[in-house]
Amino acid sequence: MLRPVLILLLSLAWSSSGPGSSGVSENSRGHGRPRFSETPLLPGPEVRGKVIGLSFNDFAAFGLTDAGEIFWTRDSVRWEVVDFNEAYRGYYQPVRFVGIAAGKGSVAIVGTYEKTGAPAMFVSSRGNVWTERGLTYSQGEELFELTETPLSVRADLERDEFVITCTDGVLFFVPPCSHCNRKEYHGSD
Amino acid sequence: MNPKRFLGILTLAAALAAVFLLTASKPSADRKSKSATPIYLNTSYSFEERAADLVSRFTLEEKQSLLGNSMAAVPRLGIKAYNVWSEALHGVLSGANPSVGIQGPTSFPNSVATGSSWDPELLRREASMIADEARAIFQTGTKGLTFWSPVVEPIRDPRWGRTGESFGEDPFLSARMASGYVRGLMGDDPKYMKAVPTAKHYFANNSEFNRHVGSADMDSRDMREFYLYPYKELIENDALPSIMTAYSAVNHVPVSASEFLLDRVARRTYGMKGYVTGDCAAIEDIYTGHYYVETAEEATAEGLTAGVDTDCGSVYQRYAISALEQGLITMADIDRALVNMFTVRMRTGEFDPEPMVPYTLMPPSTVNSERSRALAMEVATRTPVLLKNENVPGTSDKALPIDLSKVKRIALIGPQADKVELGPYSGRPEESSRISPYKAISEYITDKGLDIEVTVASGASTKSKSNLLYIGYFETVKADGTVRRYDATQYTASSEGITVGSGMGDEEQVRSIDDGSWTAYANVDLVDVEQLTVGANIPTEGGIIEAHVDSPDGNLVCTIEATRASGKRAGGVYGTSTPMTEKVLKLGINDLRTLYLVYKAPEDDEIDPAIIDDAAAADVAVVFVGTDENTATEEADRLTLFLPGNQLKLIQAVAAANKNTIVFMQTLGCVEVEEFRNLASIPGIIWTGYNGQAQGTAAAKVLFGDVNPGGKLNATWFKTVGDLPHITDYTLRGGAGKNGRTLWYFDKPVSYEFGYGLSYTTFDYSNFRISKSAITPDDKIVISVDVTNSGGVDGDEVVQVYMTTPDAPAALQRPIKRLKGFQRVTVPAGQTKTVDICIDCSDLWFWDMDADRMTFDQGRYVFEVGSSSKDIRGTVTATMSGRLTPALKTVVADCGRSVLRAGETLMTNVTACLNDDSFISLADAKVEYTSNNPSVVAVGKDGRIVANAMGVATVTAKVTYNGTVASGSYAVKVMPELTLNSLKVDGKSVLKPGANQYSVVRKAGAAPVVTATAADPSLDVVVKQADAVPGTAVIRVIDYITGDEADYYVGFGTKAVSDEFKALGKQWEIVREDKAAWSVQNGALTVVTGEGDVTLTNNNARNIFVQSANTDWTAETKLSTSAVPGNPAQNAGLIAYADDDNFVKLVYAAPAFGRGMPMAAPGAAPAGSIQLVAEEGGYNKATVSVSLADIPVKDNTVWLRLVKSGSGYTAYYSVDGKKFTKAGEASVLLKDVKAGLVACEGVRAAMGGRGGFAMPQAQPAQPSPLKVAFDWFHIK
Repeated sequence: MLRPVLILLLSLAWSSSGPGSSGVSENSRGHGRPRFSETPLLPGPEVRGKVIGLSFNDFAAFGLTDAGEIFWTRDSVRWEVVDFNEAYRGYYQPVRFVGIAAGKGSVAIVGTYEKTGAPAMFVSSRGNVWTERGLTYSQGEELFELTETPLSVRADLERDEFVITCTDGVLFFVPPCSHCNRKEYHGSD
Repeated sequence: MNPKRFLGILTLAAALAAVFLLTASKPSADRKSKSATPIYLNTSYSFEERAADLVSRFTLEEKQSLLGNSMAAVPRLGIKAYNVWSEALHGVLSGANPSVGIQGPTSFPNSVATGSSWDPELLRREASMIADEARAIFQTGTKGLTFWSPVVEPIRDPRWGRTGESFGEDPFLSARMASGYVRGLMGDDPKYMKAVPTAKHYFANNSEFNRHVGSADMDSRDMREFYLYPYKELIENDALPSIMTAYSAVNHVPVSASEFLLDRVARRTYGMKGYVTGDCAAIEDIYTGHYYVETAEEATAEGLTAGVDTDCGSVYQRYAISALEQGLITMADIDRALVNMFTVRMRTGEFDPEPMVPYTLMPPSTVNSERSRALAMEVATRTPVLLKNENVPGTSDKALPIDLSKVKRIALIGPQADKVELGPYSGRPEESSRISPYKAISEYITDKGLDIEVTVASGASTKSKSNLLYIGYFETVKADGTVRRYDATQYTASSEGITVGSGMGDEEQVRSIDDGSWTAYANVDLVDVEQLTVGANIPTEGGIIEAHVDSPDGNLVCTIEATRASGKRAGGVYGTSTPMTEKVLKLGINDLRTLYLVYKAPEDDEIDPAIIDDAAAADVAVVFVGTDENTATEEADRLTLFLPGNQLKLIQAVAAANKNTIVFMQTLGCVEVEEFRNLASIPGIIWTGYNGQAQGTAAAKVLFGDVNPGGKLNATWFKTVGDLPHITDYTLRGGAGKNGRTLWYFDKPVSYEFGYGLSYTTFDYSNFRISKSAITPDDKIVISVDVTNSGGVDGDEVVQVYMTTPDAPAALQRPIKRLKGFQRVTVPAGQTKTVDICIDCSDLWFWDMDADRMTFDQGRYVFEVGSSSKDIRGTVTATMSGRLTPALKTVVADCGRSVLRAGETLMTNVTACLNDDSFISLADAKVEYTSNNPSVVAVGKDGRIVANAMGVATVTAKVTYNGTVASGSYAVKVMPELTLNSLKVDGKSVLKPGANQYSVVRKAGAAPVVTATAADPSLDVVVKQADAVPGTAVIRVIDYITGDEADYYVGFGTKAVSDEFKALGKQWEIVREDKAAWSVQNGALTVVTGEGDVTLTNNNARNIFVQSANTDWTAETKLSTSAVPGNPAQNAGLIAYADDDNFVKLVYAAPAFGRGMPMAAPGAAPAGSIQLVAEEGGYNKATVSVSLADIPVKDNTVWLRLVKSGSGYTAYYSVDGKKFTKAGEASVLLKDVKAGLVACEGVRAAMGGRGGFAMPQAQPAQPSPLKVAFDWFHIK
């Protein structure tokens, strides 16, 4: 994780001290202006994927990449990164994630299991340890599993629950209570 | 150098420094012990020891993530994810999973049905089969092995929405049936559990509509004798390993927050060893339902400290760390919960090699096997209860069994004729396994090759007439578009029974709406209102909402059909309101009026005449009726005991058409039957609870005589719901215009009594006997009776034994009778069997509310033996005398923590409970302590433990009392010491065992390099080098697992310089200099004291003279003051100073007042004191005060000597410069120490200030500032 920080700082150091460097570039008319690379940048997280989601709560700012990396920072300087599928290889099935949401005291990531395409949701309080959240719901006295594909997730802070937007016009509500998930259909028909 | 390149180098240097710091903060997550097998995987240790070891290895975030029912995977320790929550009430709650080769699990009869079998051994076999299927499913990695079943709640009130999940209304029956279930599920391996049962809902959670907010209020008799009895029996006799706390409160304390109920009663009285789970969201209810506390952190603390180990929800998993940070809980609270949870997981064999665990070889084909299906069918045939069997009118033939030789046409009618109703908490068995009565009867007749026509028709619905709707709001819409919303829960009046709640949802709603219920709203503006919108949720079928003005029968202005049948959306019991709008009939209303919303059930469908014609044409009509999920469920109690829908009308219509009508009921419990049970044209009535996947086959077998029904009712069937007290009344005894509850206290006529059930044969009882007629509570007796099958077919009889104590004073309000024994026996036709029923007399107790223990009525005990609670065939009597001989039952020992650090000592806490559920004082007993691994943890005779070395140990307390012995034990993990293995300065060792501060004298300049290693390889060491000499290197030993740290300082210093104060030496630095207040003259440094001090928060003393002294030294000074130091706290002397919050000072000071300090005698000359004060991090670490009241101090002159050795400071004083007396010692870790002199006015210590200084008890006059002359300062 620190390599990119070093690389970034090193690059900053070297870019500011490169041969013949005057810190100023000249355009074709000879007018100087500061180089973009001299603008002080805070180091970012070392991730290989493309960022597909960002969310914030009282604890940290969280992000998600399309490579299944979750990253977060509490001070914009130090970044933590967890490559979910790598960290949990052999313990959770690989997941293709689509969204992240930070709520009260926890952050959620949703997606689908790569092998089966079934919906998946995981939660964490601080980013380092991830717990699977079951996506069952009651209908009458029977329990069912969510089958629709998650598209995104958001945190409803007022109701203290996560809301997963799924295919087929389905909204899936995930409150703190483990067996109180609700599935609602909000299609146009 | 190019400035830019220089900047680049600086940036690089900063980056390197950042690397150092960042490396120090990152846990070394991959560090592994070098031992071959970690303790938690080592099967030679006990499960609890292994669990303690495992828990000690978790980081704080890992621990938090493991406190919920969804337990996280922890790959670095090889811990798989685990879901604690699974259900198996009458089959594993699951469906088919073809991807792993699992078919739909078998669905056995529900508890209300099996309870009517009165056959615990049958239930044990069923539970064993359920556990086999559970193991097969577990092997696929899709489910856990901890099941939140059975429900052991006795049915106090049949309206309870979850009556179908309970074994019956009597605690003894419930306990015995649950015992079979618990033993079957756990298996009989001495080490491992096949699956883990959890009895619920602990306790007295017997009304759904208010379960999140209500309180079950009762006295200790009802509590102990009725509600807690099943738990006591299961824990004490069957080692029940788990209970679930209910949502509700008992006597206004949420059970999930009650240390008394969870720790004192369940663990320390009954002896439960295992884990406690909260019901889902029960921890959340502590602060959002009961408002018992205000925040999630407080609720977390309440739950954990009370003893709820896991939260079905996410309160613990989100707020445990912040609760810890707020000081509401300790790490020990978290550790204890996790040790309990992991001990149970280990007892399933999850962490052991598969060959060691006998239950790991269940193949997927175990699920829905032929054996399992056959057992489901067998159980289903043993639950039906024959309620009526008269002659078919006009014949001499009994209605049942149906003689198929005389039948050409059978009409099967009713909503359950061709339906399989599995009841609550049902898995999804294979479709092919679900057999409806119609299917079974058709197949039966076909298999027999009989030429009989079977017709089937529903003919009725089960639409509930209660719990019609939940109403959140209503809105009026005027012609001009103005909308006004009204909160429906803020009604000004209502019909009886209306409640308000949100259940598991978020919206407060009007609930408990029955057919005919209403709510009224005064002063509703109905002027020009054109539309009315009602926000309604339909939990099941829905109802009609009529808006009337001025009264429930007043003018009707609007009707809204809020039913599923009309296309409205059903929200379920957790749903929020959906707006439903209709036009309003204005009726010329032009002012504010009271609006009444009147709720009505939809009109019943008319019974189809064709169905009645079909019934009339049949030789026998069997009407299948009952209840289903729409009748009552979680969150929704029944408001009526009638059969739902128009089933009663159907029964009456069919009975009117066919004189040979059989009524076959399958319900969650008692229903009102007075309207039809005595009809002559209904000669046969059968009842079952929800009878599982094979209910149809069982029905066929019973109807046609393959099976002779032998079930007995497990509850009282009341004539009318009006016989019941309010559902929120949890007291059992009647009085004051209120009926008592259950067979114990209800003394009015009933439809069918508890234990009632007929047979196709008849049984005669004779030869009643009892093994002893004079009994004591210590005895075990046998009650015997001969039972003769005097009929023509084999059959089962359930012999029941009830107990009364007629000599008990009336004021004690003893129960009418209590069930205390039963046995189901099969007796072939014409034969006689002797039935022996063993009764342990210690079980015949009542609760003494004053003495808070069990008690036994003296005098006659009458044992009624019969076929039901009213059909008593004979009695035997014994006379009870004496008390229960006291014997130890439960000993619980603990030290309050599961994880210790080497060197720590703690006391063992022991409680000892007797067999009468009272506690003894240990002073009256002999207690012996042992440790199974003294090299790790030693324990003394007084129970004090000492953590000696890393490892695990179990400490046992053996208590001997009154000739009986019982033990309790606890496991402890000792973490490695945070000590150093090596400490070198420039490669040379300076390590001294026990030292945490080192001093090295060097010349000023570059600092030497310090290196260090920790004594235990699992620990990390971070060294922050000194910047220069003088300076301090800090070595930090870190245990990233526990978060503990220990610091070691190596101070580099130059030699400090003495001063004779001929002039002020250059070595001095003056903190907060006030030039006007000091001078050097006449060979002395003179300081006039100014306001301020450095103690506690008062960091404002001026003119503190300090010089670098970052080594070991001895400092001395001679000082004289212009007067005896006076109040508030004038003081002057030596100081070892790091900063205002980290110092040690030895001073000649004003007298210190407070506890233990002598007051000056009136008129006596004032005397000062010598004080040694140490602060570390702003907190007082030591205060020593020596009064000089009896020591003459000449000319207010004293000599002070302060010796520094490492982190230790020793203080001396002298009044003559020759003889020094030790004043005291302090140990403080100071960095970059300076030595010097201080003189200040001091401040009076504030109340509650940190550090706890002595408090002056008087308010003396403000003295003049002191003039302090330091003659010299010597340091070496």
